[in-house]
Amino acid sequence: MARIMIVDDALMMRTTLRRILEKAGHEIVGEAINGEQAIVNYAKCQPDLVTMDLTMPGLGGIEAIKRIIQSDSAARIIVVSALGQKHIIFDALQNGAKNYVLKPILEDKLLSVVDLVLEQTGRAAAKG
Amino acid sequence: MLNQFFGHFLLNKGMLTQGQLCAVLQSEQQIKVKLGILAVDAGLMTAAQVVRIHQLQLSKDKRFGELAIQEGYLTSQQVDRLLEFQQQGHLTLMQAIADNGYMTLAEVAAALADFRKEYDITENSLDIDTNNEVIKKMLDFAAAGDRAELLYDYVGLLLRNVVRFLNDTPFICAPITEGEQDHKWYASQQIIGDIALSTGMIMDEAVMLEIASRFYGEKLSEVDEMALGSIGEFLNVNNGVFGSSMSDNDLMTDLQAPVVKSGDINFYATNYRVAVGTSFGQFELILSFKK
Repeated sequence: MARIMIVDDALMMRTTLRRILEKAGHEIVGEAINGEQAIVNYAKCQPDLVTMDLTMPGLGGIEAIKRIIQSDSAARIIVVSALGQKHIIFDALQNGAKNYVLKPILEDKLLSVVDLVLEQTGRAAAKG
Repeated sequence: MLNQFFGHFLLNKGMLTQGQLCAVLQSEQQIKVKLGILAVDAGLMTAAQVVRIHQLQLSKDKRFGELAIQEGYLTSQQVDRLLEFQQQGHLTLMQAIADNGYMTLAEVAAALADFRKEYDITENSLDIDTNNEVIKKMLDFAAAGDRAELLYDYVGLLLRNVVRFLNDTPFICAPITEGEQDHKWYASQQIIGDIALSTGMIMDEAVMLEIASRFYGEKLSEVDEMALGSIGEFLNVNNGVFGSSMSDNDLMTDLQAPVVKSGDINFYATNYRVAVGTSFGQFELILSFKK
């Protein structure tokens, strides 16, 4: 199972995501409430995977994705957002996000995307 | 979706008070629709015939369907079909109104027929386009000019999301006057991009906590970070879906982070307000276009 960092400005969302991911056996190693915190905490926690909201006060998710990828090209970031428009999804993926889950979150969907990204990117090998 | 509009219709016609409608909506979800209501709604029996069967049930230990067949009002195939329809939404509302004693079965049936005629509704469930057509008859956003359609779409979406995420039947109602409203909370979010729309919900603390609780899925008893986040997320998800629907029309939008606060609120001079009632209280939706 994976070490995951959750990034979302809403405590309710962070709590919901934590519950889903921990129930599936993953470990939550960090949280962040905006893009700036996400960048700092990524460096500190070195998670296997990040769930990233896009709409946050201060530095938003797209910019945070860019900067995390710049610091770690192997970073695995899944966007979890209410924004479902094609140009935004495209933007996120272009900047290095590996996948995208739309809010409202469906537990099965989130977990299958997490598993897919971990499998596709060979977690153990990348962090070796 | 028919329920919310039928509720609004009854309110507007003075057949139910807002308090009665809220009470009905609260009891609606526990109701299993009785066969008599189903038969009247399907046009298979009259209200008077249903009342007669109910009276017969008092002296004979038989089910409604059996007696209706025995009296020649229904065939067994018709009873089977009605039993299949027993969970249809608008019928639970009719049942709840009758069970609460606010209107007789005949009065509810007549009101439903009038409602269908007034809004030109022939089906028991509404697709999104029909949904929005009904909303246009209830609200007037003409002052918004060529942007009025966006407002109708937004209101329609929000009402559907109250059903979907809050598991309640919303209805459009008269706003609460300033002096009657408790301490206010205001959740707002700006939609930016090709459409610049300010969206907000004003509500008292009890309603705010109920919305937050229902959206989160657990009871929240105080206004803390969890509750504030939950109400913000409800608006965020609603606006995200709205943005996605706008992109189908090649309109590109983005969202700023939602803000939830209490106290005095300044609004744009031109704003469009819609009071939305639910079984747990009322909130006011406030929409305004940024220039």
